[in-house]
Amino acid sequence: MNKNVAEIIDALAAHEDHSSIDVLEELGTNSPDNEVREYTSRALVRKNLHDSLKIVIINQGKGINDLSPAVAMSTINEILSLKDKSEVIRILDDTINMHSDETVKENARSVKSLLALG
Amino acid sequence: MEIRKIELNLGQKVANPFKTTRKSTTNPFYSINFEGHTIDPLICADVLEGFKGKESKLKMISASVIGSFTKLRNSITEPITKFVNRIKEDVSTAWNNTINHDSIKHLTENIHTTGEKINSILNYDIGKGISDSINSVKNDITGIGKDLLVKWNDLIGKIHEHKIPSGLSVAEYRDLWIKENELIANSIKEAA
Repeated sequence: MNKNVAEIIDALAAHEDHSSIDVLEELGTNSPDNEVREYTSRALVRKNLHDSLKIVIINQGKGINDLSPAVAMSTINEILSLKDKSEVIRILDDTINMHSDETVKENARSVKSLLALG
Repeated sequence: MEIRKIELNLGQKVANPFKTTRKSTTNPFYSINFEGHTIDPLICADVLEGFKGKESKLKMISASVIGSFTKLRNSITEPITKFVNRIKEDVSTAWNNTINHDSIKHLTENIHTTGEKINSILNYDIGKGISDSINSVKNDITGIGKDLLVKWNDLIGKIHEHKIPSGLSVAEYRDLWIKENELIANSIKEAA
């Protein structure tokens, strides 16, 4: 992955401006590069905000639902390593209960099971 | 027949049959002339006359040495300087004959020619070739070094130029990211 892109993602992940999440979603999670998508998903999880976690949990083809297993597993590992898991559990529960896509529901259920085991 | 008593009278002197009478001199050259020349009376003198027993052997040895010298002196029929000169001439003639012989002469010329060629090669051909090669390699290395330096400076410049500064706004980070994506896309196109 390009070093400058990684630095931009890190800078946006640490940025207090809420709009940084939009930029990460727009340019990161939609990138054709698997590494960029993976790095961006982990950055969004580290932000540990409702909007950032929602992107990697409820959107098809992003975060835990990414078609690349490496991106999905890396995002799940980052979720499992969070100290405060309250917000992520809340979003997972909402997804399991309310999401229209069954695949997204199934993935959310699996991640919640992993969190329960941990 | 009367048997006479045989007894040894110790007081009787019996003549020794092995005893020889000696001359008054022990010098063997006493009565010898050499080619009509009389020997120096001093040499012929019975110088060891006063010695007894062992001394007679010394007298014989000394006399033999003197005789040998005399014989050697007569055996050399030419002066020693003439002999040396003759040997020297013989050696010189043999050497000249050898080096003037056709095959030797040819060999000598060949050696001389080969030596000149080797000198020529060492001094010019090989030396020039090595010198040219070294200069060529040196020029190549210098050229490569200059190219590498230019490319390295370009790369360092790009890194410094594109280093992501901290403290920018989200919009600025977004612009930078878009710019980086364009650069990546261009580099992929160039590589393709």
